[in-house]
Amino acid sequence: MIASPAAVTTTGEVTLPARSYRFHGLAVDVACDVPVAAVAIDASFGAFALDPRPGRPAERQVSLTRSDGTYRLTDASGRVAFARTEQAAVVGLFDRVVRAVVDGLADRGILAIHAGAVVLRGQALLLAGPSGAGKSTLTMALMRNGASWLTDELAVIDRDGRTVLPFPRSLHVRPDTVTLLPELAPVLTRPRYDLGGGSEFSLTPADALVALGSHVAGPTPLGGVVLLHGTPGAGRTPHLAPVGVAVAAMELAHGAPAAAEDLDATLARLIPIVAGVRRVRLTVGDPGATAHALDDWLAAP
Amino acid sequence: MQPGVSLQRAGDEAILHDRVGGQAHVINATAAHVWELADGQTIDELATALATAYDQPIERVDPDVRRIVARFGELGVLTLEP
Repeated sequence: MIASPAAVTTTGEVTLPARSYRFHGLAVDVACDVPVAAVAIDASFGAFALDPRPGRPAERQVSLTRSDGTYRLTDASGRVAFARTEQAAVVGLFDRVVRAVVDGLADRGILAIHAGAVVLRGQALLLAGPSGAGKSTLTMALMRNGASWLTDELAVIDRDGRTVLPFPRSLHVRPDTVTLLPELAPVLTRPRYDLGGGSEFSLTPADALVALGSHVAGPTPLGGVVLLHGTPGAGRTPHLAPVGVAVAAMELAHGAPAAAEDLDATLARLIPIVAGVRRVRLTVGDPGATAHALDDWLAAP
Repeated sequence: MQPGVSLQRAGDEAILHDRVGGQAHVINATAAHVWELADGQTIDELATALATAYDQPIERVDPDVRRIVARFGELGVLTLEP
C-alpha cells in the first residue's frame, strides 16, 4: 500500500511532500525527496498510512533531503545528520522513523520492545531474542500454524502493562527464510529493501493473509514471554526450559529502547508484566516443530 | 556498597543494576537478602542476620555469605573494608 502524498511539510528552506502514518494515535510525518527511500518506508509502514489532511500540524516529523549528492537526515527532535550514499540514507531514514514511533509511543505510556508477537490460543506471546535468533521466522511459522499476527519486530505493550497492541509493520523476509517456509515463495518476485538488516522482502498484512492464512490481531492480553536461543534450522528439535522473572525482564529490557534512557524505570515496568505470565527459554529448531512445541506449552495447564 | 547500585526484586530473584559500571546482574534471593543487609555490616554480622532470617545454624550460612560477598566484590558493587 502506498500512501498518497499528504500535507506539505517544511524542513529548513526545502518544502517537501510528506507521507503520514498513524501508530496507535501517534501521527508521524515522513518528508522525503529520495524516491527509493520513500518507497522503502512505505513498503514497511504502509499498513499505518494516514489519509492526507492538509494543514494538520505534524506530531513527529522526520525528513530526508538530497542536495549536491549529499543526503540530509533530520530526526523528530530536529537533529541533523548526513549520509554519503543513498543506501545509508535509506537506513538512516528508517531508523529515524522507528525512533520517532518508539519515543512517541513512550510519551503515551506505551512500552516498545524489539520482539515478535503473535496471538495463540487467545493469548499474546512475545518472542524476544537477539538479531538473527529467528524472531521473524518463528512469527511467520506460528502464523502459518494458526496464530494471528501482532508484529515481527516491535512489540508494543499498552500502558495497562497487560495488553499487547498490534504493530503490523510489514514482515521483513530474508531470502533464506523462504527455504524454511516455502509458502513465502511468491515474495521472491518482489523488490528487496535493505533497511539495516540485510536484503529483505516486505510482506504486507494482505500478503500475510494470502501466503500464511493469518490476519492481524487486535489488542490482546499478554500470556507468555518466549526468550529465543539459537537459530532456526530444518530438522532440528526445539527445546523449552522455564525461565525466571528477573532473567525474562532483563532480556526484554535489552530489546527495549527505553532501557537505554533509564534501565531501572524500564525494569520496574517489565518485572510486574513478566511476573504475571508464563515464561520460557526456547532453543529454536525446525520452524514447524517449534510452532507445535510452543502451542503445546501454551495448552498445558 | 558502591554508589549508583540499585536492587529490584523480581520473583524469586533480583536484579542488581550498577549504573556507574553499566552492568546489571541477576542474583538469587539469598544474594539479594545479603545485599539489602550489607551496608555497614561485618561479614560475621551479616551471617548472623541471615542465619536468624532463615532459621539456620550460623555455620551453615557463613560460607554462603562469604561467597556472595566475595562475588559482589568481584563485580565491583561492594567494597570490603578491612
